[in-house]
Amino acid sequence: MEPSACEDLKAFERRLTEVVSSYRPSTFRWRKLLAVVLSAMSMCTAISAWYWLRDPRTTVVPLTESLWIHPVFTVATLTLVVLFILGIQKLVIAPQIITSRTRMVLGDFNMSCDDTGKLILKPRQSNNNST
Amino acid sequence: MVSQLPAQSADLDKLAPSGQFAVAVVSNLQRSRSSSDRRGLVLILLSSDLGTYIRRLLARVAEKACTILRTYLGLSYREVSVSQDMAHRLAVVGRKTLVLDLDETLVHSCYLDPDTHDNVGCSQLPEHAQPDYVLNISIDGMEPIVFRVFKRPHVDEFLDFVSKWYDLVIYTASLEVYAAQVVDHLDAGRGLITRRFYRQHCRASSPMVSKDLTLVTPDMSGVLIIDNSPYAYRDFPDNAIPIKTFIYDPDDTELLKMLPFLDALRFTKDVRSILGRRVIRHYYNRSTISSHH
Repeated sequence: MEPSACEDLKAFERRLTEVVSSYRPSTFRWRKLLAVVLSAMSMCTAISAWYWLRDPRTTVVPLTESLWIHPVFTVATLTLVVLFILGIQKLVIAPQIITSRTRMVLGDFNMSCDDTGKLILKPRQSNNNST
Repeated sequence: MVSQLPAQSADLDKLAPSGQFAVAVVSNLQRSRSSSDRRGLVLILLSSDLGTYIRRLLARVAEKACTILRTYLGLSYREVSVSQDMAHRLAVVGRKTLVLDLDETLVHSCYLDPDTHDNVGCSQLPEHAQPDYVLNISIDGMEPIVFRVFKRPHVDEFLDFVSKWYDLVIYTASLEVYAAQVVDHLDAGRGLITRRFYRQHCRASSPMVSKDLTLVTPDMSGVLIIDNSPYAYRDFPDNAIPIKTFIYDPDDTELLKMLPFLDALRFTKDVRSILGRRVIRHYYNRSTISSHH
């Protein structure tokens, strides 16, 4: 590979890395914190939902009163919904979407990339220009 | 324990419309096994007013989740700031030219052929499809033909981004009288697409036409073409980015997929360093619209 082509590939990769990293959370710690919070809220919701369904009063009283009787379930569920709507999932899903999109296009050029945007070069096929 | 049963039965009678159902529930509750209790509760939940509330609530939540997920799948590209040394490299390598095909790349058209009275390009359109533009085109003084034009999803966003990165050129095998109007609508007064090449600029070898990129710019290191038809760029294989043919797909995200790649490509000195690595596939995708114009 000639040196100018190599230089172009490096510049291409450098920019691709910048693009992919801009969609990632700023720190890995932040992402880990999110995972912990989501897990905790999911656990709370599941456990309190169990108690809510097991309560014999659930079948008798109106829905709003029933939720009031079980505040843990109500708060946990609402918190989960709020976290979801506010785009917590976006912080996890968005980088994957951008990366998978880029891989699809790079696939046409015998290339791929890892989760950080680093190029993965595959062996180049012989170009049949006579076709 | 035994004395409390009548009161409980009375409450259940109020909830249950059917006497038989109430009896069944009571008999379930009388057993001490917990599995029976659970089944009974689930039955009550699903059949009572409470169950209706829950089902409605879950339906609403599911609908919202689907909306959010659909948004993610069509996740918009975001402007990414350029670092200082990359900005310097950009200044050194200079601005490049992006050549875009029109039919089945940016838009899809459907019309009634006045000679054969056949619908052209309409076979894969559902009944409810609403065109983005309806054009009346008069070719060589003949009776006007009605074209229903459908924009590829995200095309406006795509043009916004690539017009910041590249000099845009439309190069289509369609007739100028038709294509000029379509491009005017796509441009929407933004002045993004000033340079245009039409059928008369193509190399003619009927019924297939190819495009001469040297007309766009003599410098092949800084020009790239996006076209759904490989034959169009067969003379410039190292300057091409293939794209799927677009014929009415509201969920199409091909243009969004291009954006990170095109963003990074402008930092190369010679686009052929990247595009020359393209996988050569032995297929030709005939463009229906092009062969009729």
